Amino acid sequence: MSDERDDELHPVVDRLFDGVQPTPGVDVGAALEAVTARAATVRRLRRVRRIGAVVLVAVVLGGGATVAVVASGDKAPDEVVASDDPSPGVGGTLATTTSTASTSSTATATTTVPGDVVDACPDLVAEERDLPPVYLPALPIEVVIGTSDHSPPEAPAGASTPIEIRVLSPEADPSWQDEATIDRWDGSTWVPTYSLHSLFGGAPGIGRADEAAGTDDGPRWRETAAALPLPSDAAPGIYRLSLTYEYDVGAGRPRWSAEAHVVFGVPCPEPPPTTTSAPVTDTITSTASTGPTTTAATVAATTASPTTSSSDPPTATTITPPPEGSGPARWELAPGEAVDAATTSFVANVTELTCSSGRSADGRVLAPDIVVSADRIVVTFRVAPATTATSAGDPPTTVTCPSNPPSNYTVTLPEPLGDRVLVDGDSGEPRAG
Amino acid sequence: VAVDPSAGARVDDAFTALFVDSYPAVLRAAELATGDPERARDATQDAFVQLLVRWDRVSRYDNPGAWVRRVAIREAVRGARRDARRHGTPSAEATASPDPDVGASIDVDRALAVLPLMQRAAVVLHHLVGVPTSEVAGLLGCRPATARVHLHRGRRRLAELLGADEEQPAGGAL
Repeated sequence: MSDERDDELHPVVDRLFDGVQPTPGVDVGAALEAVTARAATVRRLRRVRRIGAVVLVAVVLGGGATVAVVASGDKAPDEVVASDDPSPGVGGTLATTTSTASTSSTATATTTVPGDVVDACPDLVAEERDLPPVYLPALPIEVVIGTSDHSPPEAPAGASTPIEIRVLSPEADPSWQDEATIDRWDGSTWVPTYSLHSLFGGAPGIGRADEAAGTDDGPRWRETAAALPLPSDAAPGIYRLSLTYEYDVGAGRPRWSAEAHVVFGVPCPEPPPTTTSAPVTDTITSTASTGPTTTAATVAATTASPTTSSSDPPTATTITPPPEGSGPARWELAPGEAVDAATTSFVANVTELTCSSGRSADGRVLAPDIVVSADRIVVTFRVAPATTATSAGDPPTTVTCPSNPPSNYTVTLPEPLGDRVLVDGDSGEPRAG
Repeated sequence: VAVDPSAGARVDDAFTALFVDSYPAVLRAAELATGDPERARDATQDAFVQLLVRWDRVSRYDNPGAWVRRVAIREAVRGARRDARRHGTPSAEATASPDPDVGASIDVDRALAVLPLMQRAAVVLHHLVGVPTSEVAGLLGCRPATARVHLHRGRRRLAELLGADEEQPAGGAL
């Protein structure tokens, strides 16, 4: 796209909107009454509905720091399983206990908190995220804030299942695994609240519905929506929803994750500072990992310090989206190249996947994205496009698609490979180790 | 505007003034963004409910009217896309009306009707509401690069359309 040519279109389109008038004939008084009535209902829903028993688990961290994982209602966090009983905790009494390691002193405070408070902050909540299309099809994840259409029938009257995750999932893949975790921001770190397993695997169950099969992404994929109960502690605050899934397990595919921030029962914080490297809507990461808590984004979020105040959510935007216009590439070890546990550098043979008229990618191979985890090191290459405009405003030259020659690229790892597997991030296939 | 205060949430004069002043315009923007008056009405009402619930906070913003306009369009577009997926239509992005008759007067509704949902929403957000390109993506729930493409294609299509009808007034006044 030519920016210059695009700029010329602005005044043409602007003129189209000249003189646009408000919708005529609107009964503003009736509309205002309807809005105030609904707002009153929303406010009522925010009040405490039920006082439940409180199950309290205190997790004591080293150095005397304390994180309290609190559940109200009948279930401890570990007992909440969406497919069996997704009844949400609905308000209640929140007890906060602090404990210190190696002492028996305990202090308890009790506060009444709103239960089914949901706040979707337009400036904060990213509600639809696309995962990198490294392994097709890319699975779009949409997080819907509000009462889900798939609320489980046994939910108490007036209760809400305010989080709905929508995702493409395979029609039939017995190896599919997923885990949704909800963590609460305590002002300095993310505190695990609870997790749900197998939201999207197998047949639809309570709180889950398949809405369309055979999507544009292929016949094996179905669009699925699952309702998540309100976090059973229901304490007002900022929460992080992470969904990690894995499929075609055994084929060496990496595990993917997506995350969104949701806010319950507290005023929307100010938008993240503009100094972040990417908008919140881009805080998707793909990474090979051994579990959802080891994704790059999660690690970044856990270690990030709030930049403006303790109530601000961490921006977790250390993941840089692929450079605009760059294309995928796969790599193998260069002929004669061998790696071992002490390897910190190796030569990769990088092959561009995008059509480039058979031109070499020499000089266009971008610095790889390297993600290190406990059992693997994933190296993902991208290549800058070969297309070039002949002059400003001209369309780019056409490229054809003979096979592309590989280009050598020396990869430097941040630490020795050790006993880990070296993985090509594009194909998910192991290359060494 | 007479409102029975016992019927709903407490509203202050500033909210009422904003509502009366901006509701029809917000509704119009949502209609233009989606081409669906019923959906636009629901989304606009939802947006003002959100505004009222958060009034203590949003009223301190520089421009609460801009806030509610963005929320209304965002909700309308999101609902349209969700319904498209739910009902198995190919995609909201692919839905557009045929070109209007060449030579006919082109008003804004008929011009926008040739655009797929995401393109028309991007164009309305940017050119009518004044949302910077960098923020359109967040409101449409897509990547910035995708939003730029929607915006560019929408502009180009409209320019082609309007270019064929240059002598006609292009204003959207009804």
